[in-house]
Amino acid sequence: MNQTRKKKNMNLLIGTIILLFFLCLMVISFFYTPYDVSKIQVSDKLQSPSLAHWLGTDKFGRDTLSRIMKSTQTAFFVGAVVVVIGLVIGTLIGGIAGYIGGWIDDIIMRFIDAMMAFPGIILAIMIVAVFGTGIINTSLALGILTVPSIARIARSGFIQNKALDYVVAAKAVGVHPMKIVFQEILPNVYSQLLVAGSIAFAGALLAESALSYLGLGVQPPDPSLGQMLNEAQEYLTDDPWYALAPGVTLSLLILGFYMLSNGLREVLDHRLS
Amino acid sequence: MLAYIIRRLGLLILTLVFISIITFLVFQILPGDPVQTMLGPDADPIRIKTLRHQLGLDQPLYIQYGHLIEGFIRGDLGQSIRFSMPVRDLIFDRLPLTLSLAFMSLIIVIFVSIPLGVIAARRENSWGDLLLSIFTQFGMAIPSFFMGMILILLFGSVFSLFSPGSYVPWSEDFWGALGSLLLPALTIAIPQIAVSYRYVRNGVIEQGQMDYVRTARGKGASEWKTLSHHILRNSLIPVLTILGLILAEVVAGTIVVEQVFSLPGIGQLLITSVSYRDFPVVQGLVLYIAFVIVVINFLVDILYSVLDPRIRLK
Amino acid sequence: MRKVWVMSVTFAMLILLISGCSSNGQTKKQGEAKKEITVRMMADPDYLDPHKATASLTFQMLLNVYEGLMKPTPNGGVEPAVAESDKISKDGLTYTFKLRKGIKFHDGNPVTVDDVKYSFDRLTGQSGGAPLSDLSQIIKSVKTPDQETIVISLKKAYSPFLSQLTAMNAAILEKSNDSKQNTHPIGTGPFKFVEYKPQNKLVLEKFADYWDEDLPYLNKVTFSYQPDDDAASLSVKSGNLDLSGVTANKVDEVKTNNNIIEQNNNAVFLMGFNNDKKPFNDERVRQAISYVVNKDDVIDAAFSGHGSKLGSNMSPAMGKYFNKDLVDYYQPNIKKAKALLKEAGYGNGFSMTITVSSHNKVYSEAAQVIAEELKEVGIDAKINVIEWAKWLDDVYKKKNYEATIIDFTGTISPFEMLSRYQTNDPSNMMNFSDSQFDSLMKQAMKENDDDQRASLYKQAQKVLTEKAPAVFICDYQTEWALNKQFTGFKQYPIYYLDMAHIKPAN
Repeated sequence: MNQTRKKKNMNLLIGTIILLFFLCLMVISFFYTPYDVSKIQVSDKLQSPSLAHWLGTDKFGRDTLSRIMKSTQTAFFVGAVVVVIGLVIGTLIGGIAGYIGGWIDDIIMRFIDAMMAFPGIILAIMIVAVFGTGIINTSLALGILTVPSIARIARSGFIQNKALDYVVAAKAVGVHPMKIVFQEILPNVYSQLLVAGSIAFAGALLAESALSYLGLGVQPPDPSLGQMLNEAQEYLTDDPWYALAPGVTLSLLILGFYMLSNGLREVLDHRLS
Repeated sequence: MLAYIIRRLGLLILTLVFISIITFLVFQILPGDPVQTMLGPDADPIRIKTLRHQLGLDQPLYIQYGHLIEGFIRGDLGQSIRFSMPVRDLIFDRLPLTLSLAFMSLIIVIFVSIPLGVIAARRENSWGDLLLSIFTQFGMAIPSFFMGMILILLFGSVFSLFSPGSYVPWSEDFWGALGSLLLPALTIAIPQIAVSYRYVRNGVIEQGQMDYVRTARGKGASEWKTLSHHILRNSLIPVLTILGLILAEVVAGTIVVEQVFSLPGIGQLLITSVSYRDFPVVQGLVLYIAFVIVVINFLVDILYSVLDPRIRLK
Repeated sequence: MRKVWVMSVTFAMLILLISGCSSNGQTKKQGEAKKEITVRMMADPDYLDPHKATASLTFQMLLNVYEGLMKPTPNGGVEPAVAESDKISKDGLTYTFKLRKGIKFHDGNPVTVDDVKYSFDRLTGQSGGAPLSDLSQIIKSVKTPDQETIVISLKKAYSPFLSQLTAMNAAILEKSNDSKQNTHPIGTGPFKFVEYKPQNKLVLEKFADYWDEDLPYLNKVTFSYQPDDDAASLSVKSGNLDLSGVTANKVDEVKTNNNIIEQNNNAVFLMGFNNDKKPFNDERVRQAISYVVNKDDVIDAAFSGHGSKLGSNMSPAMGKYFNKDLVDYYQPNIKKAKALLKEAGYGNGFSMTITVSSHNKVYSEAAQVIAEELKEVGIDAKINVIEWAKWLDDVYKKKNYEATIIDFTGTISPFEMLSRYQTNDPSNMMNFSDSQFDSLMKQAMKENDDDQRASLYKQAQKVLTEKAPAVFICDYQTEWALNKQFTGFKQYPIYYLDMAHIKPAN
């Protein structure tokens, strides 16, 4: 048992350390970056890592470390907006479907099935084509894409809790439905939603980078990891570090959120059992 | 059981109708004209006008949509605007590639994740187990296009073993086709290995603690026999159902990966068609992909309810 | 477990079966002298029917299949192709052509004057359908007095007419192939069409009955789809592609087994203003921005340094029509730029948006460099990257933009290259209007003497430079990598990969 406890802490521990590291990096980047992130110095382009430029420079001669620091802002912003949109709207829709049930549930679930069967990246491309590119629009598009999966989790949580004795009892004595939802059901569902939220955060980072890789996500001069990768791709064979720096950063960030969500889930399972 | 299946089939059709309507609505507000996009800024305005008329694009979109749906019912997917070809031919031309890619990925997932899962379960909570867990999670965390870039860098540039974009069909050169699909398949498979691995590992651990295993061991069955005859057989049932979900992920994963490796499959066709506003192709492809995914989910659900009769009651 | 195996094997066999059915079962032959070449295809052709096609990348391939009465020459002129000779009347209204003797279509049928008349009728909408080309506004009639003569009368004198008679604008097609032209192309060029698979390949084969008996040297040309630059250079390196454009940073990598040929594209890469919109309706603002933009930096960042600076809407590839005095008209000069802005009432700068398309990275890369440079004079430039389809709709068609970065591909006609700056031209996307420019272009259209015409075009270019409807940045170069086993690459001022002259190196 002791051994299992030790292992359980690992996911949470490593995940939290990774995320704290990048959070610190982000906070610092608001006040200080080694170089101006948008300063173009073509004569310094494509330098290898050195003391002056720890992670080298990009094809415009901009400092890669500074840009990576700055792009953690973009990453956390996009992720946060996506998760908030997904959680709020998803819980609302899933809650309604689960709590009311019947034909409303059927219609909503078919719609959600349709959204989930739709290739996500294509829906994102189409939404971006309608509303335009950029940080805000990308976040909105990805937020909408996150709604179905969270709605599903919220729905099943509501259905499970609805049938529990104390909820049935509260209903029977005529407690207002809103009160039941906010006081009895939500507190029980929220831990599952927390896990879903941290997975959605990772998913948002993946999707944003994929969109930016296709040239349709966050746009210059706002730095984003996916877009840096997109720029670096053509120099992959000659200057691999150019692509590796943003690529590894991105992967570590996503890993941090996956480990956090796994860690959280294990804590939850442990608490339940 | 029959009533359940019939009800599910009805819902399946409803889902597809929703998807078709979503696609139509999005195209209704999507800016851009297919002919202008195809011919570019140097196009003669007279030519654009004539071609638009010939293609029936000067009619309102809902009439075009009506024609398309009418065709669907007759089994005709319509004509691509971008490629002046029947949508059906375009899709069938690409199907072998995308299917083989999906299939190869699935094979890789099965043959890597099951042994890994078993090994990890046997040495539960050892450093090896922990490392494997971090490793597989890392595999999930690397965006597929970045993974593709790394593989191209390693195998294409450093070892010169692979040349991206040199896809040859199976019928022309079996080993060539295998070679050109291996890396893309690996790229798709790696994140899914992590998912499947976890199920195998947990399943084996769980079954290993069951009484019947203890009994088998007590009767003097060899370790290998216990594992293959008892533990694995039972722990793979949930894995089998999760493979359905993985297959759905794999189908979606081919879209980006085909782009990274420049493979002429369904995914690349889809992205091209969206950017060229080729409504008939997008409609056909989206319905096709959604159909595959919905059917897989459907089969998984059926499988579940066969394995676990309690689910049918819902 | 065994069930999974059985399923797997069955599935594998099914896939083999499906893929086996869907292809023709050809096998590669190797060992012989290289008489087959594989060329990179960057994008799919828009149409195979040359009367419908427009994209320059289409004609890059299809000029090997189709010919017009004339065909392009490497120095930017035209020479007879389906026609054997041409004669122009003094007033410039009547063009008389003699059909080339013994010329055949790819299906073996002889080319007749009826086919020629049919081709023009199809383009101008005389044969019932709607017109496919603006030739319909120039051509009055096409007559065939005998079996080897074609007489074309024009509505008004139009000096660039001969250059409009290549396959790019007026390919000669076979009448009996009318409805099948897009799926089974038949032309008179040195190669005949074999097959086309979208996003995969386009295959051509030697036409044995080509009218020039010496050509072509190769037996087969395969254009192989490869939209990605990175993957293309790897394929070039490994020998899977014999001819391909490679990005400048890959040149060293592929040098060992390839010859590198640098070609000016005759394109004009520019940042265009919406000349109707404030503050760009003030020429001083446009000139000021022209003084700010450092073209060398843009070329460095977007084209790795491989581009020739331009001063107007004409590339040095146009030879004698190119006005070379304009290239350094605007040297980067922040002081001058600030003074001009102050004069125009924008001493404190302003903010603007540069809208560019996402289909090629070079646009947003150039925009980033320019936006950074504009900061020096207080102009805050935002970059808005949109999809190509949206760009064509918003920027090109609806002219709903402030500034944009785009490139125009060249033609062999200097008139066509400049025509979009005329006040009422339908493709005048920059809303530029200048009476002096308009009248110079009108004169050039009527002028029969080529040298006189060249001088008029040069004056027109100077007007564009001075009025600065756009910042003319550069003509970017393509680095062609041609496998050392081949030779005979010919450069044209248009997108044309002349495969007929390519031959094995030994």
